[in-house]
Amino acid sequence: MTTRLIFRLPSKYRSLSTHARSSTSIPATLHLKTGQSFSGYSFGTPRSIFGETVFSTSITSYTESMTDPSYRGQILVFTTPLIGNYGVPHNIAPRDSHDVGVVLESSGIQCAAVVVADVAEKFSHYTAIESLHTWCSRYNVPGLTGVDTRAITRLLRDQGTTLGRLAVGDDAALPPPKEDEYWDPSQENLVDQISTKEPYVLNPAGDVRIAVLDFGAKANILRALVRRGATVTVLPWNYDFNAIRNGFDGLFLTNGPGDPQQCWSAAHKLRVTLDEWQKPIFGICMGHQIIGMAAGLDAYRMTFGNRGHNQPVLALASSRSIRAGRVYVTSQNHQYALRLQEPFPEGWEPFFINCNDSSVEGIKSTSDSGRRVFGVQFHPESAGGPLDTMEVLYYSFVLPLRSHT
Amino acid sequence: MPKDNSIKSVLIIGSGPIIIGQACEFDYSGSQAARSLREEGIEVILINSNPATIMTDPMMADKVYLLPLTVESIEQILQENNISAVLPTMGGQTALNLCKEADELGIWEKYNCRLIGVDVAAIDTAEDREQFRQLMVKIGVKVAPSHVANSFLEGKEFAQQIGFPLVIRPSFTLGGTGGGFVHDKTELDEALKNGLEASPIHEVLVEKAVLGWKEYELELLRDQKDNVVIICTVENLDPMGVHTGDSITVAPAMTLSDTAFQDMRNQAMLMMRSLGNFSGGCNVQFAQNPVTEELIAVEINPRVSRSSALASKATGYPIAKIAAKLAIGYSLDELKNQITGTTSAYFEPALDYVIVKMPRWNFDKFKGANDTLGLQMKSVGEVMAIGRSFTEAIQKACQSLENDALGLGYYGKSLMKSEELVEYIKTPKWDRIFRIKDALMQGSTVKSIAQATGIDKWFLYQIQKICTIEKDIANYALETLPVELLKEAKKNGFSDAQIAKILQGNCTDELVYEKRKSLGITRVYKMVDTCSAEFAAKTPYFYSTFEN
Repeated sequence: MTTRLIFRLPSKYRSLSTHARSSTSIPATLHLKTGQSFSGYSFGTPRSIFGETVFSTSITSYTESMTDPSYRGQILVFTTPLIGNYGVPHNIAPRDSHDVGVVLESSGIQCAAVVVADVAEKFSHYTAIESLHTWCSRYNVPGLTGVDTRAITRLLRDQGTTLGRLAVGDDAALPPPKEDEYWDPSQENLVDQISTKEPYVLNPAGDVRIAVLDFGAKANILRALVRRGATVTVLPWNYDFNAIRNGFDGLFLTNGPGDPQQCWSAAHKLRVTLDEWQKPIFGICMGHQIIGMAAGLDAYRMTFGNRGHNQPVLALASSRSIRAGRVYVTSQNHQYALRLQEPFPEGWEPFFINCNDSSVEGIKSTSDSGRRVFGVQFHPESAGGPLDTMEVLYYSFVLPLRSHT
Repeated sequence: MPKDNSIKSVLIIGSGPIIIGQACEFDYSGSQAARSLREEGIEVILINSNPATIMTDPMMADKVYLLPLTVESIEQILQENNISAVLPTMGGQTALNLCKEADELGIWEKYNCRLIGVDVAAIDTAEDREQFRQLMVKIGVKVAPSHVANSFLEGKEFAQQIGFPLVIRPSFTLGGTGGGFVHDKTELDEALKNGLEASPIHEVLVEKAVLGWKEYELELLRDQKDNVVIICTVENLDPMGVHTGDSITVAPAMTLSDTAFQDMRNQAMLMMRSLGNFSGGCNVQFAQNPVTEELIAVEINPRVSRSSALASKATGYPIAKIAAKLAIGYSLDELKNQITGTTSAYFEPALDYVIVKMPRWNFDKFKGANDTLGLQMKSVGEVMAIGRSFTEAIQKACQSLENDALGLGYYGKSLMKSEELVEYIKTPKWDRIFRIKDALMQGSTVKSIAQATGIDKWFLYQIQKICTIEKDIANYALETLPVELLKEAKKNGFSDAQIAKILQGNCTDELVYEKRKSLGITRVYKMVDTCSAEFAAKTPYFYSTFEN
């Protein structure tokens, strides 16, 4: 990703990129369903939007976060006050056997809107081709700046993730919506909106065959599998994998937006797979929750979730290079988690727990269960965030596949 | 791994006299460490030759020795006390060097005193440039091409092989003493002579200079389980070529993309893990090529450093305090975040503000001293400012220098023309940041200044923002000054006195203050809480800012 890009935006975009200021005079207000309002200025596309308001404490990676499909339907508040400093890179990579076609986490901006204290009007980075403002404008995404993001964060921390409306322009002067007017993304199957409609194959020449159920995959998950030599077949989230499973060495379940309860049909199918198919299965984030639901665990909604790059997780069980008792700093983005229950369903054990709030961060099949299944709530593939668990987890999944073919 | 109960008493070595290059930061870390160990019921014995420090106050340690920092003093202390372990990482390079000297004479072994917080091999590897280079090559971390020379002739030969510009770095010296950049043969001769003399082992490193690359520092902690966390990332506004102690530095890093930051983070962790098997604090410096993001490791310090004192204040994470606990056997996940009191100490602070550190020089007191900044640290102190934006933080820092600067600007305004200024700022001097602002005020472009100084354009755009606001304000008198502009100025760190000076007509800071007070533009106070408000804080500290 460090190769220098020679692509240049057409001049009409370039001129926009250095004159973001003119747009900051449009007023914009963030209304929360709980009654609070925060007024500032609009950037990006000046349009009003509903969404679920969440905060992330990550310092770098606004570009990766905003293209992460798990943020779909959400108004993303960055606690870092200065966002946009390094601009936005050209987001197309050559789609060859080792790449998935994009530099960032998907082809466009996924979150409903962004809220930053101080949006960078000018940027500086050798790969940047446009400003945050221009990028948002191109994807029709509204932004709010000039508000006290710390005050919003404190509210969300105490009252939990809250439905919101970003009212822009003339709408900003209107009274806030009534409680029943707020759109609740958890009532919709966001996964179905974002998941691939048709199966497709990456790196056909790989030496192991992995099926990926796409709940809203981050590009770096696919990239990580492909770069480790696997042929990756990406399937729609509710695809009947059991019908084609004999053609694969392993199954992977990706991250995705919204409430995992919307995806029960996938969990039911997975239950059959778990009973009848002994090959390795690995899930991340929502994929981990689906595995847990199939195993008989309960998924619940957390107060404000975990979003950031500094979440410590403690390994409770050892598995290959993961040692019980070690702690890893991880990248996270989730609102739902699996409930820690006593006893755990037979054949399953907790793999990781969060050192701060003791939420379940991973589960695995026990060694005597005959299965080789594990899931983690955090994002070992990072993008953005620490890469501390990248190798240990991918090698725990991909290498064993190779030794069995 | 819980606390090692065989450690009953610990000797902390201080850093000696306060000199340029080594100031009160080690007093801060030594005091924190003493407190942290006594909290655990461990007897703390302290040696420092400098009585003008907090750490030598009678209540800080169980026993304080005001003795010269020599092996003889160490031996005397060991004879008079039953000391289980020595913690040499809190007193800078002075303490590490003394510890190493005592180790070579077998003193620690003789008195059955363990070394905690670092090991001797790590001290050697970090300070001996050649060993450091070899280790980096072994673990696959890039370094600048270099050769160690033990004589003048050797140095000349290597210089010819590598080519100018070069850095001459003497081994085992403090604050870069005796080091320097050389661009031609004459400079080389002088630098080699000085460097060899400055090094206690008559050794210098002849190294390719990566002038103009961006410079970053990371503060790390490691425990006995080999867990490593990055506490803080500091970006130098001044590119490579100016000593970190003489650079304006900013935390967190402002211009790093996530991929570049993670690369740096991974390499720093790899470096610390490869450097012996000890638990405690560590500081790693990198140079980054601004157009390829290629990284070069500059140095690693296996101790609490000047920057860790800054990082502690900047993040709220008490590095020296935790490092002392790690040295006596605790692992990171067994300790609590000192600010929240409820979450784990095993995490990486998230900042929702900007820290700017600005050095303070006293060249007017050192007549005839060369005021060009380089490898050797020349500042006599520093200020640290916190703001919600870079512009606010840097203006606050300027106002705190105690040199009559009212902000960035209105301090010894230069009479130079813009072309002269652009030429002038090519050489780093104490007033460069003020002259950059002058040049921008006069209409020099960000591009030309970036070319002249190597400073990332993002910082220059920010200074340009300050200039734009200043020019806007200059169009008004106090009575006509628009509220929005006044608000904007306060958010960007303009002091009342600065605004008064810029406005037309006779205005004073009191009048500006009265006006903004009547308009309700007043300070708000925000927390330094390590976690960007994700968790409630029990013992935070506060900074003031202006926000809606």
